[in-house]
Amino acid sequence: MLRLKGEAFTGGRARFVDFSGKLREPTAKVFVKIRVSDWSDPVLAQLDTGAAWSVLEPEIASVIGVLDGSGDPERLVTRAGVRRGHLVDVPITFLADEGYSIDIEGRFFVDPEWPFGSFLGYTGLLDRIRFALDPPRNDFYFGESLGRLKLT
Amino acid sequence: MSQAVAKQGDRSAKVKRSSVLDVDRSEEFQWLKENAQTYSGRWVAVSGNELVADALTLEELLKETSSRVLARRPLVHRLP
Repeated sequence: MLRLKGEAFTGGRARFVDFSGKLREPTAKVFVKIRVSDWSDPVLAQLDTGAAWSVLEPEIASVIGVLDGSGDPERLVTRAGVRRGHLVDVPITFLADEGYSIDIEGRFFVDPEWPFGSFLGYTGLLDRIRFALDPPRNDFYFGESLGRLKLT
Repeated sequence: MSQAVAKQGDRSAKVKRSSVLDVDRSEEFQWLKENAQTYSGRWVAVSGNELVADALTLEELLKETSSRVLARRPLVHRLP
């Protein structure tokens, strides 16, 4: 348990990886481990508080059966232009190496032609949890919100 | 409820603690960093510092990994 001034802050910790690969914008990005729906293999998704929505790669969406066009129609403005898809609720698990993992149902944008990877965005997912990064150690702390912390 | 709020879903949706724990994947992360160029555009399944399988599609990758007996589930990622 990560504590701040003696109070519980978050309950899970996991290593994250920051690498850029062959991206158009070559600075390092933060990728964290999640499990999607009941698929047992952990996958990486980019943590992006600036993303309008979380996005699921179409091949992963297909594996868990949410690439059928159901959900609320939505448009997403990206560096590759305007994308059209659907918003679907998907249960995911933020996987901890220590402490405890958390299960949450997040709202994901699904576009069958999405050319990028999976993203964990603010609205409908990150706005529901508490999290912190320790970049020098590549540690990602996360958990449920446990009430407002006193800093005095 | 406004359309925008409805689209965002229930912000107070339950966050539940899970007993499922993963392992430290530092070895897998190192493998991904070292081999990102070689496997660019491909799906890879990595366990420890070893490649379990790679494929052009996730479906092909899962066909290969599903038949393998592994000490721990591989980390799956598509390299950009």
